[in-house]
Amino acid sequence: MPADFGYINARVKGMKARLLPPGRLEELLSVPDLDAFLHALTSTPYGPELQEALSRYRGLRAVDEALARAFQKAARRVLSFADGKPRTLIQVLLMQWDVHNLRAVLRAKHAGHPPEAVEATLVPAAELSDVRLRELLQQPDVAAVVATLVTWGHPLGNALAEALPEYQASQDLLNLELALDRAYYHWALQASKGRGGDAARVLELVRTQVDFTNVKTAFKLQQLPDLSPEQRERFFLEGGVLVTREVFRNLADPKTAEVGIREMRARGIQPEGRTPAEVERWLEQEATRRMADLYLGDPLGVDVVIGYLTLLANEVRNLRLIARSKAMGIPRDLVRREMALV
Amino acid sequence: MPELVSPTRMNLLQRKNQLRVAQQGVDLLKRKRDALVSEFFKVVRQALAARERLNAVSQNAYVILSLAKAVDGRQALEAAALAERRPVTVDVEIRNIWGIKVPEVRAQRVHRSFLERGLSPMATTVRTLESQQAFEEVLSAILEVASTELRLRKIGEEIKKTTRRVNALEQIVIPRIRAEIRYINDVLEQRAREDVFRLKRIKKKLESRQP
Repeated sequence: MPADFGYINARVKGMKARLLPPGRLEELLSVPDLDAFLHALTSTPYGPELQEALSRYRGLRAVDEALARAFQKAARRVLSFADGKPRTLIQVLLMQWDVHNLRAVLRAKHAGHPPEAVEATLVPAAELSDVRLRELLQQPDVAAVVATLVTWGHPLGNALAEALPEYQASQDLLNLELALDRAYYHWALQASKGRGGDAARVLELVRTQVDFTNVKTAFKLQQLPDLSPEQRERFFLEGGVLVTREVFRNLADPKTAEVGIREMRARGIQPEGRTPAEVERWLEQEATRRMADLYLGDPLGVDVVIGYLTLLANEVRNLRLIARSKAMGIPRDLVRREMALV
Repeated sequence: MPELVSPTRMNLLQRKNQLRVAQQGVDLLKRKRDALVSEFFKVVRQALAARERLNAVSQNAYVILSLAKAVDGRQALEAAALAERRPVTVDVEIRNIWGIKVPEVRAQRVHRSFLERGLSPMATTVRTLESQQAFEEVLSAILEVASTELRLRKIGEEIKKTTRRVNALEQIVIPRIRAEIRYINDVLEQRAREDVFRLKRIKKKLESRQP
């Protein structure tokens, strides 16, 4: 299988042509109701998935299923084009879906939810396929899930196995979830290290992601005035460039938040607004914009893949927003505010 | 059935006593009903306000949930819902209103921080947290509605029961006792007249026998 980004990007550019043209979202936003939206969506490249979803679900649920299925199919397809180092770099971008799936499985096993309650929450868009996720769901408890991941040689398996004794002693799943997040970023940073512009680009992306996650976490922690500085620092992620431990410490504490915000702004992260919701929205939109712009970057590098996957995720998100605005009568302004790129 | 009553003076006194007690009962029940109606209207206002609050917070919560589902994806929201939960403890206190046992439902603490909800701030978006918070608000409004509507139902049932009792006393029991009293009075008066008549006849006979 060809492994270089020249080949991968040629295939990805073909897939990009299936994204909705500019202006189509505006047209969809102006349809009168959900039925009209469903009808209009049928004539787009999402049509086959929507038809399939409509045979099992109705209304919004069908839209959600169709869009999720289309995204999973496209993401796994992109991954299937690559092997070797390019595959690893693409895996870094998609691994967050494995993290999402593992988190859902661990929560279900910890709280004793049946597998069927969890299946609908899974997004098999990365390494863990449908079959593997079902296999994980069949495991009797958290320890068995971790053991299965280690057996499969999953990149996050060993880190979870290391955190398992602490979880078993405290029965606090948050410890294991934090270990999972740290393991993902640690693995992503390690996997994207190496020579060449592509590795550097992905490394830069992961570092930005770590910085943005730390800012978002710190703003959420400001809402909990009773936490000690040590308890706040427990949520700090290593690996960022702009948000150091010191900045995070100040930013996460309501007493020193002003200092933290000044430091953060001085380092180039200048979100609009002060509330956690406003900051998070700005960071997400900023990350989406930066990553989507990469589509026009190096035609023989990872940029095109990053750009395409971001544009696809953004389109799926915007379509979900429009569907909800039609079904629930959410004002158009509110929807437009949430849409990252139109 | 006044005819079934034995027309004796003892029964007449008993019936008169019963009539007095029944009239006092009607009076008391009417006063109880008035007090209950006034309490009912007070609770109706509270119930309407609670319903309005529930409608408003629900509407807001569903909009926030919808936006969160759209932006973060349904799967992310449902995965967040799988997290370990702290139970919401509800206190049920029994209050006594005019002899009716009315339960009052109150939650100790509905709102929880995201750490109490078992969620990692690194992996959960503000939208998800806001929608959870909005639904905790809905839960609090539901408990308020449950408490007021339960009170309303209990008081309403009691008003109905009291009205039935008042009607039964006014329409059936009191007219029946009055009829019985009338019957006994009629019979006793008839007897008295017969006695007078008989005595007069005897007196006449005795007078005619005397030379």
